[in-house]
Amino acid sequence: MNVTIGLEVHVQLLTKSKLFCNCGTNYRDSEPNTHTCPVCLGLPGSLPVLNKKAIEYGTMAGLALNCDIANEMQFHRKNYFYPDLPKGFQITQYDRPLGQNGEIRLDQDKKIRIKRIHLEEDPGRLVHPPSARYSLIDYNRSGVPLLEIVTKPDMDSPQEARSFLKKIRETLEFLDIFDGSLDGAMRCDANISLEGGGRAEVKNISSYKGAEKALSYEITRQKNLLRRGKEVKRETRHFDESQEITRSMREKEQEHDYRYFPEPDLPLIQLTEEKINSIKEKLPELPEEKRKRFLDQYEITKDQAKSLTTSKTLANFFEEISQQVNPKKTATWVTDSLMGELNYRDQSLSESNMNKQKFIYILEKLRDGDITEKGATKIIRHILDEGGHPKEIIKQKDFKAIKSQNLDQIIHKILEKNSEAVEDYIKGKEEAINYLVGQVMSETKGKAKPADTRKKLQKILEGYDG
Amino acid sequence: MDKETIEKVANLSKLAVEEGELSDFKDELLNILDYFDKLDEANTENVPPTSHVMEIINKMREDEVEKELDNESALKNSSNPQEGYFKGPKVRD
Ligand SMILES: [Zn+2]
Repeated sequence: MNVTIGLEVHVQLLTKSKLFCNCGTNYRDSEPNTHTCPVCLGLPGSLPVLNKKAIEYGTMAGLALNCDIANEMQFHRKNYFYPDLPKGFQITQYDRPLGQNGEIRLDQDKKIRIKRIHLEEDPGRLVHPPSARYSLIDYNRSGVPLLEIVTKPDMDSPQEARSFLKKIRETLEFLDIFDGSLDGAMRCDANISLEGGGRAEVKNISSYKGAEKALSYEITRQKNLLRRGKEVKRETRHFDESQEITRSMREKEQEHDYRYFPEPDLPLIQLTEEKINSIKEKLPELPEEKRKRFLDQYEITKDQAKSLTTSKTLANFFEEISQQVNPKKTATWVTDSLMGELNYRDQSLSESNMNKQKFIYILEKLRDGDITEKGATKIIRHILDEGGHPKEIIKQKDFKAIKSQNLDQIIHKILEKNSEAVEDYIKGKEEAINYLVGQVMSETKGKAKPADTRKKLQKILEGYDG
Repeated sequence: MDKETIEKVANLSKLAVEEGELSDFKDELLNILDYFDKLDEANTENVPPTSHVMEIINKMREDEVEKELDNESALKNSSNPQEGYFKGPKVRD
């Protein structure tokens, strides 16, 4: 059964001040209603003035998403009555948005068309204390700049929707205009329909995982209805993140009667081709370009280049370390070991205890043979779990690679203890050496390098033979 | 113009219209609509749509944080503040 999905994504832009007033946008760690002014409280007589930076950031996003940027744009009032909007309307863009007709390619080279992008103000935040018969309103978020990205219905699975959201995050983060790690910085609504059924609009999705879960739930729900010969109604549904289901929203007809009209308090915005080009020239390297350059510049694999460019933090981490340690080794240790350990812990690099200096230290110790690969992995785990500097950890935890002399002693001890295996080997049973290597490894608790151990063993055993 | 239309417009405008006022509103609204008909008579074929009477463009500000209201001032006009918030009727069930 064919599935059709389109998304409307809202992302907060990282400006210092709000879209139409000089209040700060750092509402997350603040007491309620401490970043407001007459404009974002909607007091009578106040007048909005557009933030230049928001237009610049929006244009950057539009260019990165391959949109046609409007040379002239306008703001509209979208009228609806809800307490998160103190003015009784939201200032947004309607028929003259910032950008149109864009597209973005997912990793599997699937093209997702972007219908439009536009700027609008974030509403305030409502708090519903449990069992209370009232709601509380905090207008700190009111007026924070949002970029809305509307796709064409080009996705055909929940996984694809998730990839799209990740791609948007990755792209906007490379531009330094968005921070996806902030709670609620990306929210989305999804339109989903199955062949032969009506379209449901799912609201209140606030994470990639949420998007995938909400859409998977919808597919099952709609499939079941169609299978039983029932009608899939065209309706708006609300995603309940805690229960991972969608619910029909009772909505009044008038909610869609937004009565858009031009915002008389904001003049037209004109963007000349020169201005657009100057923003284009300043665009930083995007993931796709970075991927290609990494492949050309460093001796790393395609998969490694892809993993290393999934976030700007990671890409910079790799590249800066590569100036000091062999890039190939760095790529392997970052993608195989570090990223695996981070994923396992559900941590991101920037919020973890790992940093460049620590990682360089580990890779240098490894290069100099002071620690083994196993030791390096243990040190990485220790840092992620408990913090600390590798220098101290190596000392405290006795992760130092075993010295050649000591290793000789241990090997001799093992050979004495395992005369049977030794004889087997001499008789030509070559696998016997694996057993001996294993014995040495367990005796040294992994502090011996397997390759060295094998070499030494071979040498000594050859001596026995002769 | 039927009764439902007037009630809908009133509802969207958050106005309470009593049964007895409906016919007055009907007359007033029809007057306004008549005026739009008059506007439609003007030939605007080669005139671009106007959304602003003033010919100002690109009036924008720098991205700077300036003085904000403190919590007390922000809530000063509220008849119903609570714990630093504006308080209102419950809007979600
Ligand atoms: Zn403000």
